[in-house]
Amino acid sequence: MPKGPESFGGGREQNETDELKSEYQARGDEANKDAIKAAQKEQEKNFNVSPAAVLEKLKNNPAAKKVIGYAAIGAAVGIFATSFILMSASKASASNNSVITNAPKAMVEQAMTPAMTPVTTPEAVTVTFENDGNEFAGETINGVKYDYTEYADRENKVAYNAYGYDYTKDYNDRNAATNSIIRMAEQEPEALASYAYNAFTDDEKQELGIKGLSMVEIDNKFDQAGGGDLQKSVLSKFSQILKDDKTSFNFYRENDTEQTNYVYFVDENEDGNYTPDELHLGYDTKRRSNAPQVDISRTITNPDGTTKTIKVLDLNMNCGYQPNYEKAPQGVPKIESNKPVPQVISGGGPGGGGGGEDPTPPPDPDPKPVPPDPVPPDPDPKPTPKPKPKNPENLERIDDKVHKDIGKDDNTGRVNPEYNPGVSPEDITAPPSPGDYGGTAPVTTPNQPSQGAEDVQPTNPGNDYGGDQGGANDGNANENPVEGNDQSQEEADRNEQTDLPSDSGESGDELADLGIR
Amino acid sequence: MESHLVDETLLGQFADVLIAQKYPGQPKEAYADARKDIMDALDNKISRAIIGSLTEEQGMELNQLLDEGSTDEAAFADFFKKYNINLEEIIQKVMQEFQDDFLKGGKNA
Repeated sequence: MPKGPESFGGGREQNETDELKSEYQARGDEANKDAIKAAQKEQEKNFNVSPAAVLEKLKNNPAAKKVIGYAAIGAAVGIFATSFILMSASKASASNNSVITNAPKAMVEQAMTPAMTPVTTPEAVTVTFENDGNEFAGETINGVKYDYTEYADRENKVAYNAYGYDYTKDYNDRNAATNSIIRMAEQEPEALASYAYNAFTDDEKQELGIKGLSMVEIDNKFDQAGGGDLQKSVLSKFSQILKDDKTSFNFYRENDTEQTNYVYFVDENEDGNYTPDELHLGYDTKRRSNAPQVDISRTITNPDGTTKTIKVLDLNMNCGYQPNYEKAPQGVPKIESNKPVPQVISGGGPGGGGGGEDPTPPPDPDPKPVPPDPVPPDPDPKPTPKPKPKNPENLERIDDKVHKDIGKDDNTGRVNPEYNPGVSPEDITAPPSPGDYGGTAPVTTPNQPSQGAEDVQPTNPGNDYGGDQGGANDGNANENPVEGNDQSQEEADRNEQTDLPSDSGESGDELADLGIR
Repeated sequence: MESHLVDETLLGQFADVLIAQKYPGQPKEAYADARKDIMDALDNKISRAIIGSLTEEQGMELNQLLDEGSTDEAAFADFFKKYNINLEEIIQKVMQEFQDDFLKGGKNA
């Protein structure tokens, strides 16, 4: 599934290669294929550096983004320091003065988040699950810790049933990706189950007591007695694999169809709360378009001392690091990624282990009973839990007003950037050299004694090129000098010379008639 | 979800301060959608301005640096310095114009 660097479009191609080829043929050097190949290679090197492509690469390079980020912080502080002065002068409301007056300092402090400072290798990643009133976090009776805050934050996720947020920011950053994946595994036992199923060898699964289980069954095991200890062991092993030197991360863009894990909720307790026993693994088929992914593999040593590289995980970064598969994962029901599932999951079809390309999902091997009500419930039987606003009864949205303030200009979608066109060589003409136009010498005829002097024809001022007539390049010739393109200049000179009339009698007469010689 | 060129925390803070200037006292929930639009629009403008400060040759050179997968911040900083491209100045200009337009009510308001 990993693919090489993608190309973004066309460049200068066949025309120039054909010209070169013609040139070599004209020189009788048709066999000089090496030169043609070299020219083609040069074109490929310059193949598509479009502004949009460069921008996309900039976004995906953490080092470049940091440099731009530091500049943005400086710019923002400059802006809001000025605004602060204006706001103070206009005497904003007392309750908001503290916000505005502290804005510059807050901007800098807030902006200098860990993302803006150099990333350091973590010693250990731990997540505290303190029950501080967060309705989405806690610990089960079996000691399994969970935190579904990110999962439940649907407004900020790409898909309804996605594991979590968009982690494209981790692209090309192994440390950041490692941290994010481990945090996801700690927060959601379902995610951990999917990771363990894919990442562990049979021996490792055997050691942990999960050999032969599907990912759904591993998830169920967390819900049983001893689930907490199992979670700790599996998490520890998984973290170890990700941080191992023999594990490699390959970030790439996906443009194919694949199957991807999701997590869906069935409110079996009928209380609207998310607990591990009510959240389950599913999968959906997705058509990717330039989607950021990370392919993780590791090298292991066989008993006979030989080594081999095995796949660990292929993860989709857009939706919280969900595992991808070419074929439907075994024992996992198919769901819709962007909708809440009905309370009854239809799991008909062949028995578990069918997998492959059979579109009919196998029956859900989940031993828990399906809720008895076979009739699809109302579209929204229970409100989806989400963070509560501060003053829900008094909340008046101002989105529309703010949209108008932004203006239509930037609300019509992204406009591709363009390079600075600068001054092209075609805009500049070479200045005349001093000797080019020396004027025309007057035609004189010796005065014959027996004849009167001939009238001297008045010189047509229009033909006098001796003086500075001014013009487009008057005095400006050297402001934007053409940077040497010696070859083309020599070629032009050569062509110009061949255009000059040869020194034939006929031509010489014509030139003489014109008064040139 | 499309990623931004500028750090999203900074974009979000900028949006919050802008809105506080014009609509003081509003909780974040009251303008959640518009906040994202501000972030996208501002990032869009900054991206165009930075790319627009490069000539095609400079773009090719930057492209090469990116294709090499450079993780060296100094390399990118040196690139912009070499061509006298002052990123802070460019971004500040964009932010200032954005703020002015926003406070005046938008170009098409």
